[in-house]
Amino acid sequence: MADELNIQIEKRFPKGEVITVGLELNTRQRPAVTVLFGPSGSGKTTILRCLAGLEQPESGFISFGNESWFDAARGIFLSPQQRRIGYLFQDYALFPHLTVRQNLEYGLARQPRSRRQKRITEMVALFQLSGLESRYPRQLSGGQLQRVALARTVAPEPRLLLLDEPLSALDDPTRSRLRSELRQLLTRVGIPALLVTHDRTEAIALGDWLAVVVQGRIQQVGSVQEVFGRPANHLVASSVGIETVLPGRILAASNGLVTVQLNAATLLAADPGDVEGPEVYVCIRAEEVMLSRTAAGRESARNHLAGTVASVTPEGPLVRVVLECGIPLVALITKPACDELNIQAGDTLTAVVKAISLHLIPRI
Amino acid sequence: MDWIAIGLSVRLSLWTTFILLLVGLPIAYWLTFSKRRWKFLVEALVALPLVLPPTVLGFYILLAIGPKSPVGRFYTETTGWVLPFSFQGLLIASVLYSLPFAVQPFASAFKSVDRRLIEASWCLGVSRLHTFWHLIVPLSQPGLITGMVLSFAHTLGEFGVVLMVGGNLPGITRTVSISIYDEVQALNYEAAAQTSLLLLCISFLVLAVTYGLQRRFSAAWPMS
Repeated sequence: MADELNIQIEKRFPKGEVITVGLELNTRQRPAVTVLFGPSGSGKTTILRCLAGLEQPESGFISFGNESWFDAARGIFLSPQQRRIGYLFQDYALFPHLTVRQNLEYGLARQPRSRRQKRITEMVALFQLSGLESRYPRQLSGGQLQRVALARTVAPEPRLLLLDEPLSALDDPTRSRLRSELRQLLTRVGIPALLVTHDRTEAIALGDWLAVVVQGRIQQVGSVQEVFGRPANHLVASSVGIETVLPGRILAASNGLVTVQLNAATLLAADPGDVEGPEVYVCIRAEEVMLSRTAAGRESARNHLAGTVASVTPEGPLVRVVLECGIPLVALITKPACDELNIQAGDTLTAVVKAISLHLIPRI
Repeated sequence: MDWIAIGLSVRLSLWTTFILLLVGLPIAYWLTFSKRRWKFLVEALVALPLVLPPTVLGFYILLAIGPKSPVGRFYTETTGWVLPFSFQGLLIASVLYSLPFAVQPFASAFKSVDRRLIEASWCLGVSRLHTFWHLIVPLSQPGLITGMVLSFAHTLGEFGVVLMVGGNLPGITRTVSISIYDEVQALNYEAAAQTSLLLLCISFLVLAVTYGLQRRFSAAWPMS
């Protein structure tokens, strides 16, 4: 039923900014959370609003399966009501004069009563809202608000979920807790989703696919690993900021350190404390990888990885070195350092990474 | 005290308020949500009675509904009655005269409804009409009540327009304010004082009750 989403649009603003989007998403692939990632002001939310029918682009088209949502050439513009999408707003936009139950019921008004009741019961169970039905939004905590908002969005059975910075309304500790909860809920709901965020951690934790938006254009689309590991251009590289993002598995934890298995390599990382499951993403910034010719003795809390240099690419005053050491590890070193070590492709080197430089993001 | 005039004024005010609710809601909605460039012209037109002398407004209304005007002729042909110096004519004048007192509070109440709530409603597949009745109207309640009360109170005390369009026919167009004016002209100060006091009390009471209710409303659902 769900199908390909094809967006080719151009949206102009009175002040002269232009947002140009070319994006094709196969929403049948599972799991299917696509993250629109990019710095603030890059046009992510506008893309989402155009998809929802809340803004009208100047030219281009949007199609979902064989349905045309917008086509400037043919004068087609479907209203938000006609698109059957679900939109989760940044601050949730729950109706303040209605109870939780009435909020859930709001989008089901046209359905017969029995069907409506059944759907509300389902939503209350799925989003663990039991006992909150007669409360007003102002009486709910941040986490409860998020669950109610998502439940309300999902209740009318939308074909596509659009989420606009869903965690930005929360304070820091709540945010990291709700991040994994949101991922679980999205997986459980099973509706293809497009999520906007400017937060790297959120992008990695919530997305299966990443579309990087910088300066009003989609710069790169790919899996989380692909985009972080092989940024298509310097704009993507600078906005993602982390060069190595790899799936790993926690083997053991002790003394504030955890042992993580990454393909053939085993690494030590500082225990972030908020990781529950064994599945994680391990993030390493290229600046934090040091390279050395000698296989130095093992010091505590440092990872030493011997490997072969796969590529050496100059980037202005810096040099990007990719070391194949059981995992593809990216290091960013200065040009003098590179010359001193005389690094060539094919060389054998040792990479040194401190345990605290390994950033772990929970993965469900 | 001129109970007939008081009764007539109350009847006129109730009808005016009711009609302004029907007419004012769509105008206010359009003024709030329309993106037309020439919207400001309609805004100015609606606000005109605020600054125009009642006699000027009354004069134009008199011309517009007179037997020689298309409106007046149509009314006479269909009903056999004439509009000037009748209750119906007075009602038309009152509605026009109090239009800004209803439309402006309605529009500012609509404007204060968070735009995202409206968009959230649309994205849930809910039609614009349903959104209006089930979201915008409930959230604008204090502003809607203010608009209605102001229309009522304003009509209750109108004088100039009534004199121009309605004249001074007891039981038909002779409202409280005209009655008070007549008493004063006849040097009948006691009767004028009684009626004036009554009007003052009613006006104050209505306003006090409204503002009191509004405080309770705004305490009932502050934005989460």
